[in-house]
Amino acid sequence: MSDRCVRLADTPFDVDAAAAAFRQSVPSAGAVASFIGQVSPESGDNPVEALFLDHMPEASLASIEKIASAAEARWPLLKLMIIHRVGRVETGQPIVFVACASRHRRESFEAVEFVMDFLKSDVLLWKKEIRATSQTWIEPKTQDFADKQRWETEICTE
Amino acid sequence: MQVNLFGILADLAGQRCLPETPDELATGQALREYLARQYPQMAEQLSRPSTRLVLNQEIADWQMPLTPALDIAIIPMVSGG
Repeated sequence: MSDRCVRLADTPFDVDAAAAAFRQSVPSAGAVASFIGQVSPESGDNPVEALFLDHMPEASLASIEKIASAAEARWPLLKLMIIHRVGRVETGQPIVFVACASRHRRESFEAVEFVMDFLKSDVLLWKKEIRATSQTWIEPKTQDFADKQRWETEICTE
Repeated sequence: MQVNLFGILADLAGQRCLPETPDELATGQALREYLARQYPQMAEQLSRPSTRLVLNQEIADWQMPLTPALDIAIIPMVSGG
């Protein structure tokens, strides 16, 4: 198993500091790939003001750990980090940060995509869009399920 | 028994926790049917296959027996990232 850091953050986190600390912590890596997801206002006259991420403290974290384990089993990673926000996340703030370090680039690129594809539809979190005049709970899209299926594996996050 | 709700289910019920759910409900399925009667605004969500019973932080079959000592939750379809 690689060196791993997985956590839920209930307040804004400094994604640039997290990325820098991650890279500096694996000097033996030949490749570091990362992904930042942030809250987009989207276009239109009723833009998204924030997201709210509901969670079950123990079970939500455990479900992310299982995704991390699956990535570590599939690629020879040197280090993996996943930070996922919970609670209210304002427009422009990061909602998720995923980073993978490996000897070669392909493993890191693929592992980051793999983790994100499973975070979209397998993690025990519930996401609500908050707009000026409406609030809507978001469910995974057909594309999200298709993205996950391309890895031809199942992760029992339950 | 106490039942915790998450996501859209908590919004539909207007509360996160249902502390006075009858102890006599023998199984998860009996609980689901009771809640659909008591909170008709949740009935459609409760009937979905993606809505799951959680016992002591683990997904469980709806036919599992219930006891007041269990940590009982019902969760809708998940969405992260």
